[in-house]
Amino acid sequence: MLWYKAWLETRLRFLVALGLLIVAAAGTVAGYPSARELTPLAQNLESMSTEMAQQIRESLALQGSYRGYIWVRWYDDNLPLLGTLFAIVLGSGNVITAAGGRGNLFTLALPVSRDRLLGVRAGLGLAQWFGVVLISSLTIPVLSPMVGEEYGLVETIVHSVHMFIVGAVFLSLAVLLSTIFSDVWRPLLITAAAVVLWRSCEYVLRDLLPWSLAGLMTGKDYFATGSLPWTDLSLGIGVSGLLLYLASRLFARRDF
Amino acid sequence: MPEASIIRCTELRKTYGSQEALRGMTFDVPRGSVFGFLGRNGAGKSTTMKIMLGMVHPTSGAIEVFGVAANDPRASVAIRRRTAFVSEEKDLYDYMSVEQLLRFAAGLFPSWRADLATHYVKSFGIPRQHRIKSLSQGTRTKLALLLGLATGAELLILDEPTTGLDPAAAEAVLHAIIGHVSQEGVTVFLSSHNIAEIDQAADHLAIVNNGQVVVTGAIDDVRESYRRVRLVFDGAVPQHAVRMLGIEGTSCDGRVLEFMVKGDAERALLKARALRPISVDVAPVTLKEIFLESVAPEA
Repeated sequence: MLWYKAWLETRLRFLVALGLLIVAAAGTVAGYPSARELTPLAQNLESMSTEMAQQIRESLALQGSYRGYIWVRWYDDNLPLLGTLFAIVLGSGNVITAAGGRGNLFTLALPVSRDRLLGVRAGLGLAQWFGVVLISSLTIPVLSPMVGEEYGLVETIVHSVHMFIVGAVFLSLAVLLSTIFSDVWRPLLITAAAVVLWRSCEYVLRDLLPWSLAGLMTGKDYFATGSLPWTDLSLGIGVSGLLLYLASRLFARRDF
Repeated sequence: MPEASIIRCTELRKTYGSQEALRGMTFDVPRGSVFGFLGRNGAGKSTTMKIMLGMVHPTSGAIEVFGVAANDPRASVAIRRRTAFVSEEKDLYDYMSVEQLLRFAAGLFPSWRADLATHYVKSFGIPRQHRIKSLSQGTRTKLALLLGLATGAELLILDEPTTGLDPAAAEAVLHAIIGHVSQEGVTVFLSSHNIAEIDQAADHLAIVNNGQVVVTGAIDDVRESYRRVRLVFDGAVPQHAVRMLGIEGTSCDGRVLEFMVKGDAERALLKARALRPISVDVAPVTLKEIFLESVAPEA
């Protein structure tokens, strides 16, 4: 019954996130014919040696194939941008009663432990996040025949798992902050600020860092080499688990 | 804990920063009683109830419900399995319908009584298909009470159950509580600042002031232990009278001196008669007088 309650409280945000990402994925597929026309422009940039020109050349070169186009436009651009935002939204909000806090005392008087309350809330958030990523990404193999192309199901699932694991870290941070703050806005804004800060630092220090959260999120290694970064993925799961554990300890100690 | 006690609270303390909400709260709630927990707003009633239900952690002291420590997280779940709580705010899930909320509660309480739920839905006139958000304050209160009564709980904790209700609705709610107690034999912990409500429904009480229990016991015994004494003199009240009596809370009005005594009234009367008044009246006191005397600010 707690799952049912949590679902009723969060279904609107889940359905909005899912709907928007499906539309974005469909738009990505539909944009392929136009993008293909831009590929020859890469030759015009060959004489330029700036870093930006280099990046554009590489991006256009990747988009020469449908697989490369989908990776650049969806897994490296739209999905991380929108997906990160939705992961944070799905993790934010009152842990006891996500619907504006009404019913807090009623919930706390139920014969369930705080660990279970938090577990259901975080578990449903993670399940919704996985659903949002996987279902929206599955739109791509489903719609690809419309532009005369095919996209692999396994590739979709593997990239979705990458995105899910990194997004789960952001979601878990939002859950942790939601055990401290009762409103939806502070966990959302603080987590969003932390992500922006992290991504900025990662961009500035990209040549020094051996590990990239952004790279893991987009499945860059898998796209380039076909191998899975098991250590990085495990680390992502570990960080997420640690954040949820801290959330459960804070939640257990809190007075209401 | 004595077999007869369902709740035992011993030297319970809670501080929020520098503010002391509870300052050594101590009382026992007999099994099968309707226990009135009477105090002004901010006296510490809600904090005590929240500690019983594991919502707030005590700073020190102990509170046992059904013989187990309420601040132990696992024991707290077991306590809540046998306890129903109706909060002052009657805060329910606005987005659910009455039917959805009843099914939700039925799935969580192992002793849920569908027969009682059906009975109270009918007798309270609660529309099953309506959203909780659309219910009036009175119907919402009745629904919150219904949820408490139908859980099949052995202990009902009610925080200001009639707040916001018109007198007729408040009376209906109190009748439902009293009727339920007589039929099901549950214990009721009734927190209120409404003296008439406690007087009508409770058989035991604790009066709380500034985070402490100042009076507790069976209501009849408490009433019996207090007496109002009225001395009338043939002239002005002698100046040394108050000092000689050594009783706080005396009031003088011309030739009349009044005071309340607790416990051994005979001793106070002996002293009073020594002042040679022309008349000495001893009268019983109301619960309201006891309450006002108990929570009066110290001089």
